[in-house]
Amino acid sequence: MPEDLKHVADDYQWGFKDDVEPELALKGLTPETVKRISEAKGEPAWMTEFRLKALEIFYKLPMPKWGPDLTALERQLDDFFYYVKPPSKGVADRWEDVPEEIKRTYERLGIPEAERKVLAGVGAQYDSEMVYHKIKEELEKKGVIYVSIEEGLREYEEIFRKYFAKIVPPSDNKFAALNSAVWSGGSFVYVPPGVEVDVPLQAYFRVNTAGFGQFERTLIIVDEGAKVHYIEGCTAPLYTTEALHTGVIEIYVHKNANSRYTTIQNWPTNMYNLVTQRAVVEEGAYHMWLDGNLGSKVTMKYPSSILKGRGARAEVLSIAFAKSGQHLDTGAKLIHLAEDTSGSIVSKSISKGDGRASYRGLVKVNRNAERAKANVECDALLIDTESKTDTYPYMEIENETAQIGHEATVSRLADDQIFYLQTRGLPEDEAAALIVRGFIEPVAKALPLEFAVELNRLIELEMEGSVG
Amino acid sequence: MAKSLEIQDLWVSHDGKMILKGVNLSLPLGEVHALMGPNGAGKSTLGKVIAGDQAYTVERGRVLLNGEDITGLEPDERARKGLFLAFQYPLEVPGVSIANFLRLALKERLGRDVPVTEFYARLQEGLKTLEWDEEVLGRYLNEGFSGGEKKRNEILQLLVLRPQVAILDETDSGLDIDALKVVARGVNSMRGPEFSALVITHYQRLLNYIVPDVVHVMMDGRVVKTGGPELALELEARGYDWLKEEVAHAGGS
Amino acid sequence: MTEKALLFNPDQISKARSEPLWLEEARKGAYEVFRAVPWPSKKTEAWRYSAGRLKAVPFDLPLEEPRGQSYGREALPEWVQSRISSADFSAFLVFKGADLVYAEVPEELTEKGLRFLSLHQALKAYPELVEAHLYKAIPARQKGDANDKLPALNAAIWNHGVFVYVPDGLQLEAPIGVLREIEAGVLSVGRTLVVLGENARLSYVEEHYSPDLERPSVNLAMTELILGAGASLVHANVQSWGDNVHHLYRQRALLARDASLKDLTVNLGASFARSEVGSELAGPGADSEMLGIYFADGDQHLDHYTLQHHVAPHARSDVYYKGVAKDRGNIIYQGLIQLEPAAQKTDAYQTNRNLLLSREARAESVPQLEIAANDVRCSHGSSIAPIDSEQRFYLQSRGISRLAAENLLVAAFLEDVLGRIRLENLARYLAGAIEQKVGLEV
Repeated sequence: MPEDLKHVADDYQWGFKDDVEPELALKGLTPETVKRISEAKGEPAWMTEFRLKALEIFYKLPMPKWGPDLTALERQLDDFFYYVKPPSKGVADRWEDVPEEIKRTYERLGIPEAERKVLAGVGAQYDSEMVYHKIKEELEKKGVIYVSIEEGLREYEEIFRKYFAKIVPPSDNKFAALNSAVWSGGSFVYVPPGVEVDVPLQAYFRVNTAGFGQFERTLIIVDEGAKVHYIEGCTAPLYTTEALHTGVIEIYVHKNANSRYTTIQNWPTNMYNLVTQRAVVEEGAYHMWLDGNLGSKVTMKYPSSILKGRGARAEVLSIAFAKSGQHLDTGAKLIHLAEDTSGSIVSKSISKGDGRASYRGLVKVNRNAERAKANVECDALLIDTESKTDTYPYMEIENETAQIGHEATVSRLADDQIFYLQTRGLPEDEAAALIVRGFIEPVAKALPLEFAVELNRLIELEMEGSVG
Repeated sequence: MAKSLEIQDLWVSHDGKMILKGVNLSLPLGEVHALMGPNGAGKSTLGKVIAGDQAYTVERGRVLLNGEDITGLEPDERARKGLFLAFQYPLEVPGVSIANFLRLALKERLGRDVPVTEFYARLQEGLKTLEWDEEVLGRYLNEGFSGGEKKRNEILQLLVLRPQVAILDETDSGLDIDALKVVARGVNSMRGPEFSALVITHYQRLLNYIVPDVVHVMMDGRVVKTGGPELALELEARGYDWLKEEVAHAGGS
Repeated sequence: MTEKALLFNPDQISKARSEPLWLEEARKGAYEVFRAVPWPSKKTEAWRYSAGRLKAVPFDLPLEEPRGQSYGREALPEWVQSRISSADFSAFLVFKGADLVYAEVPEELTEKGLRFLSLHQALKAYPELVEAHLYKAIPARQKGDANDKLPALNAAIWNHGVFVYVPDGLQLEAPIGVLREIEAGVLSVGRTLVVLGENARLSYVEEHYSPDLERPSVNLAMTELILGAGASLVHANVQSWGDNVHHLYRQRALLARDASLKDLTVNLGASFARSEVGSELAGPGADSEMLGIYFADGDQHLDHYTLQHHVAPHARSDVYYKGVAKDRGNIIYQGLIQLEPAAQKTDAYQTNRNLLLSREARAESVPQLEIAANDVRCSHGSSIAPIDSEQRFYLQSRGISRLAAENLLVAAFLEDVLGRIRLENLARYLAGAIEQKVGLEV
């Protein structure tokens, strides 16, 4: 491993490589690759066509000219593996049936202990394919569907087709088009009317193959008055070659439903993480995005909520921790289409070393969205002299009754605060970690416990020897 | 008598300007001393330097705690050795609750894990002394506190951490008389053979409630006079000017 | 519009006015830049909300040429008479079109060293002063992209303008002013250069007025403010053009060590106005306060861009822009605080507040931060809201009409901006102008 990656590897707990030989690996971005993915999955013709059309859109759309520098990525696009099928007989629903090497990996990551403890359902994706999917029986009986996206297409085609790519069409952006062409893996969730899933469904995404692109696609439908919380976590080993993760998440929250999507990515620092997440929120419904970005080389991710029905509400809580060599360009969008809709965005970012955290957001109020309300709060904490932060909040208001506010602050880790805590006996590192934890506390307290613990561990690790 | 805190010929500069110019002071265990002086005399600087604020540079001299030279130690090392500074302007640390913070600090002070029961016993006692509601423990450290609440919070930390030497930097400023009494009660409850305190104040008012054993007067970076409690009353009555002349005279001869 | 319609010949402008060679060269260079860079489009970040309006600006109008007119004081237009009677200018210039038609600069000020005259007069009388400062704050080429299009065009073809110079240590208390009127059917390209020496002090007001025009006109104006160490400038640019005027304005201030600028930009008139106001804090201790007021009614489209560029440490900047929109008015604010790595100990603030008075009014607000230094205090805030209906009700319940109540609330909303500019007469005049706009039904 080159010297410059060494320090990353030392810090990156999940940086081990698993000894798993893939069954099929497709390199390069061509119609041929796309056809073979579709073939390997035994898809209906309409899906093959959809993929090919998306590939054309991808070719046509330019790379984004704003935000992080993607020129290095652009040069590598043809060198990625677009599909890597792990050895498996399909999606297991008994842990024992998952291939031994993959099982070992997930056990190192603490799965499925997590499932046994608190979860309503667990899914695990390894490179391109889901290898494990399991849901509690009582939920299954109530009609809750939690399967791999492939199985969703196979077994529930009618409902699948009604929503798939309707919320994020391939033309939405270049990377949504890419995902639409080569998508593989991800979850399909359907919660029937009135059913409340009180404990979270969880998915784990793991990339193992070097130079690989993971393109999972998740579709969540929360029917009228239903409730669900979906959690996603991502890790990968550290390779010297760069990797790409381009997910598309579509969520439809029906009338009076309640939905929550939590994702914490801790990809290694050579991963491009370019994700499109969007929810449509109907009348009286509520959706929350909880978005944590700790890893990756470059992240571009702006979870959006389309407040479509009267009184729809959305909340976004976002944490970014940009360390040296990272550019995390994250934020959120609130699109108010209906009256009495309300939204709130709270974003907390930390930049350390030469890390750069940018907030990029949009609040849009359409002409008919009477009495819309939105509040945006962005706070940035800078640890070192060379740390950077940006804030780009867009507000576009076409209705005179809207009440929209945006506040942002930039502060630094203050010497006098550290001194104050030190005079109470706290060592300097611990004092710094305490201040950083306090800074993100308003968002961190909404995290599931295991993520909160992981985040604390990371902050402590990062703040060691970082001051003075 | 054991010298709990001793300051020997301390010279300190800040931004290239000499602020302390040879401070000598000794505070024996079990005693409470007052440190008075006009604005700009260097009182608060002395408090911060004793606590280890690295914004100041010690040019010469030493600070001894129980005979050990602590001049070069980090602030937290000093705190673990039993030193406590009640800040004139306590800092706000958003997102960190008082309870969590104090438990962490107590663990460091005692050098061991602190059982919840022991921790809460200390907290309850402190809150009772300060006539404070338990609700405050969930609030973030000094965030949104009034000036009086911040000072009260400093004393709560004093009562929970039970240091051997406390320096109270203008703890009376900004307090109304009732709050002053409560704060004084907190400090007095700590008094005993194992505790000593240096009470920095501009006014004699606080000294009615925390009666000092010894009064030191600082001017222009030096301790220029040391006396009994009556010295504070004299300063209150006559101001500092007579002392200035006396010092100038002594210096001139 | 087509590029073909824009075949100016900068040489001819220079030759016709027998300008010095350096200026002729500078114009040529600027014209090259103009030809080389593209027009701002929707993709040009700073132009995202106005690129469409820019496209509709008739740049192919004939260039407004000087005609050698000059007036006596009694013959000055009525609005000028009315403004100078209440504005207490200690000196002022009046422009009609590209002509300086009247100047009133007391001898004693000139003796103290104040230079206040047209830019072309200054080129003859003080050529070194002009050469040393012109194009320094707004060069023709800055970013090499679409943002340079208009500055480059102005740099190439400006043909009227103002020069103000206050020498080291001269402190002038009473404001000086320029009043200018545009004519119908022209492309007017003007340039202002204000230079303050070390510890100099000045208040300078630019006012632009026209009646509603029958045929469209374009006003493309640039103002350069150059502040020496410790200099202090109060500057106001008040735009009250009539309908059918397209107003394109860029202003940049260069602030040396401990210099201080208090700036007010006012956009009340024009069909389409675009103001870009920036300060470059180049020396430690510099302080730039940038205030803005704008009010769109009818179909007005008023766009504002501010830049706080911190290069040096220990400087301070504060943007405070407030806008009101009624009818189908569209108000836009974009602003950027940009801190270079050396800009430690910076205090930078940015606030934008917007009030929407009617159903079809709209507002865009994009306050941005780019921070590359860590020991800084920066914050920005932005809000868009309607008139507080409870407040209006409260006032109405005391017998005040709805219109009067709105008037009061709009005045209250803008009050703190007007209060911060230390030009009382101007503040009073603006308060009156705003009141008229609230009351006007379009």
